[in-house]
Amino acid sequence: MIAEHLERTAAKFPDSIALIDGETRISYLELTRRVTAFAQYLKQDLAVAPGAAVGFFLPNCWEFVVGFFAVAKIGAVCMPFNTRWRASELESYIRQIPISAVLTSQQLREPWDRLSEMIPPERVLVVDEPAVANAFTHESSGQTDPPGHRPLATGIALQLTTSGSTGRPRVAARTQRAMLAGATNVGQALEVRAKQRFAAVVPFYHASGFGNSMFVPLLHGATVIIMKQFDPRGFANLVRSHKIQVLLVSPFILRLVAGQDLDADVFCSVETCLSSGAPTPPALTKQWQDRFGIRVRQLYGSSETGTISIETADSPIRTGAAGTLVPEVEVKVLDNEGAEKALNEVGEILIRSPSLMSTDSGMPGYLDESGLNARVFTNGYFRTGDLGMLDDDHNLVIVGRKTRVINLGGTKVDPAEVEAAIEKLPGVRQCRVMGVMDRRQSEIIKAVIAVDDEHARSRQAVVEHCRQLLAEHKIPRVIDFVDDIPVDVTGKQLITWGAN
Amino acid sequence: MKTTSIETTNIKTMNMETTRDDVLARVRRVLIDSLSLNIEEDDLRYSESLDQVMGLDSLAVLEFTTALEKEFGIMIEHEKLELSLLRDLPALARYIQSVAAAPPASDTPA
Repeated sequence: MIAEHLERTAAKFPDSIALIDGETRISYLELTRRVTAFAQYLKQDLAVAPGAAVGFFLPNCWEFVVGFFAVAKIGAVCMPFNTRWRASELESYIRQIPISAVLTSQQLREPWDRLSEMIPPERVLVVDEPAVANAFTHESSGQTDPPGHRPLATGIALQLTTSGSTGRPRVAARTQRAMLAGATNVGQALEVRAKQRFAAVVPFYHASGFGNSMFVPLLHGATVIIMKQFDPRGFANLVRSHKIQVLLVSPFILRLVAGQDLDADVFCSVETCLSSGAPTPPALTKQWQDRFGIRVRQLYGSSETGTISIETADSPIRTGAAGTLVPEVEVKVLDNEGAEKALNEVGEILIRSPSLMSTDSGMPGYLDESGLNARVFTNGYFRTGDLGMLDDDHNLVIVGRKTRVINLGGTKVDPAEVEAAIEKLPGVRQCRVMGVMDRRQSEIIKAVIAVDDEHARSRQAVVEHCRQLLAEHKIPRVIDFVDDIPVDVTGKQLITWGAN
Repeated sequence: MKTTSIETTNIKTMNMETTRDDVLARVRRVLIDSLSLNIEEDDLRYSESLDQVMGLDSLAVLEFTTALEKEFGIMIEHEKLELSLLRDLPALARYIQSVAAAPPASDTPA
């Protein structure tokens, strides 16, 4: 279904450029050829079965894109992993959801060498090694389509990893149909056109980067210009040299770019600039407007729901503004008892949408989490854990969060996972981990640690210990040692943005 | 990729009289400020590897290096920067001095 959709797009615009990745330019016709070739390789050489998950441990690159559509073509499931994770973190996911193979690169393959008992070396597909690289371009038989049945619309196509606050990883899956419905609705909201030029800089392992900067444009015949690794000057050069029209960024990217000495017209080709992952501080939005003449528009969504809402370019700049609902998305704002709140009253945001995650039996919910799913859904609406309201114009405004999940610019971190890691350090009695705002209005991780043994009262000891168990970004920046954890220690309440 | 087409203007020229110790102290302050670490400056010894005091993920590296660029009015080539250099404050301070002493990269053709 997804692959067929791409083929229809390619039939309309065969010679249009689909992907630009450094020196590599791939037309729509060529993209579908590579997808077919790689699908054959996965199916015939590696016997990847329909419904099997294939891990993606790659930076943004054309091989990721071809790999995704090839996996969808054979009815298998793309499961992107955060490339910053260590072997132990990857292991916790693949124990829960086994993968049939993994795509990675020479630079990133190291953790997989350590997981060879769970995923044998011949199923670690290093895309920049010749054996695998050839599989993208050489069809292994004269057939244009791999034999076998077509993937079902209700089959799962994408499994996104996400963090709660319970110490257990979660997987949000989307069917082929849900992905196409979500992409169609976002395409409509953004009025995506064929040949429009999108920059893909937010990692594809983020729901927003994957959907809004890659999947949506490719289904509409647009051109995706890939940036493997963000840096602010390289980004400005990319936008200028490729005359990018649609930017999907994060507040982090906006802030670093705004900190550069750049000409006011660097971004003159940009028609749409979307910021996702975390709330964009109004001062930053104003800075972009003043310096570059660009109205940054907030995009709000999640791995669980897909894109929920997008600010319009003419709406007033306001703290927490999350914009107008994209077509077919429904929202409820509920109080703790489940009663609906009036306009301008704060409650928990619940979402129903055609792009909502679903289990392999087709019910809404995380994979393999029946107990949890009963709690996070109310009448088919997903409880986002975000607190907010609808304003007079029925635009969403987010004012805070109900759960303890820490949001590092779009990467969710489970405080319970960090607490459990720190509590394994000898001499630590108890630990509380939370998100706090730094003075740039970025969320960072803070740990409050009660120690029994003075040897553990050491930042160095905690950091080195964390490094053994956690990805670098999960290591707390602010570390406080105390004799006892205060009973009222909480993170969210320290975050003072928004609420009226 | 062309990296030279974005001109930087208003680059503060670093005082060549600046001693290495000054640079080192400024690097340390920029580190603590840019990453919001709750460490007193005097508690962060120059001999300490940054690995020992913080997580150095790619976003933290960008945050730190762009703050260094601003502080010293220099340009750091992100692609060429070795992580090992970042971990070592004295080596980093020497690198910054050498970059500041060299003619601006934007004057040389790609």
